[in-house]
Amino acid sequence: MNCAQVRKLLAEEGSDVPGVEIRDHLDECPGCARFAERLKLAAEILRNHQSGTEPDAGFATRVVAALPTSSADLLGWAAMRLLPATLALALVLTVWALAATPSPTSLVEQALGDDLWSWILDSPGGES
Amino acid sequence: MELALSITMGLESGTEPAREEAALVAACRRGDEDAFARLVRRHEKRVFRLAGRFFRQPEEVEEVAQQTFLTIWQKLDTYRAKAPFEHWLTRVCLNCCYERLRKQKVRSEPLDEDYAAASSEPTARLEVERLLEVLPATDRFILLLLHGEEWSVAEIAERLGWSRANVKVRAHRARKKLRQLLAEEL
Ligand SMILES: [Zn+2]
Repeated sequence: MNCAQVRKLLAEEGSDVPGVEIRDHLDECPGCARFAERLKLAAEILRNHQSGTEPDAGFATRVVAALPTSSADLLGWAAMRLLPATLALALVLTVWALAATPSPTSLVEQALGDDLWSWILDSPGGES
Repeated sequence: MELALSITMGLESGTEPAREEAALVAACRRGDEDAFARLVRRHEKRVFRLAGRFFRQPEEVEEVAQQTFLTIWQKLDTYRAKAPFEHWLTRVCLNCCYERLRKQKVRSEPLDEDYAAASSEPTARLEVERLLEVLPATDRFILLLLHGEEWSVAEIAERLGWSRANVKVRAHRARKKLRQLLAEEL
């Protein structure tokens, strides 16, 4: 059994009691013996890894305060989320309205043009 | 192990606490925030202990716990009461932890908080702690479940709602990376 095989078996099995063949190898191979020691330590560190943080008395209250459910919260949330979209829409509509609305000058010109045509069409000379 | 046991043991259906919990969940579904506060108080220790398995800083543990309960509140409609509420809570909490770890990618703090202060001490333990820090967070997540909670691949799959094949592949990859790391400089 070579070093790679021994290390793979040690890591896969995760057993504290390696087989005879592995034990013999570990007795003769300082590298693998050190690897086995590291593996054991790693398992121990992972096993004991615990923050130990406990919730304080106000935790549940803070969670409830963070819920986006009450109507006031929803309105606030909607306002915050929709405000940029509303402003953008208002801007687009304003630009569109300005572009689509004829200027006073063009209205006067159009009115004069209409009058001129009606005058030509209504004039006695036009009928003859 | 104590944590693992406390997580797996759900309330027996039909018992008074189980009925009480079912009533709380039903009230929460109707938008009753007081009922939700009671539900949080009932389970907060369990969630903190589970999140504390993956995060050391108290602020991080609280943030993940809060995220867990907010997710519970928002997705309460999807909870089918076939399995105990605790199982669903565990699943949501684990997935919140996993998502947070996945986003972190590289660990910013040592596994052992005393490590930084004592890092000049060239002991084998510190050496291993340094090596574990290099592990990708998602690999550490699986290893913490395997070694910390002492859950099997099947148990991890069931509690996370992942397929066994997925967990098996991830566990194999995590163990392989750990093996490669621990074999460094030997
Ligand atoms: Zn060897």
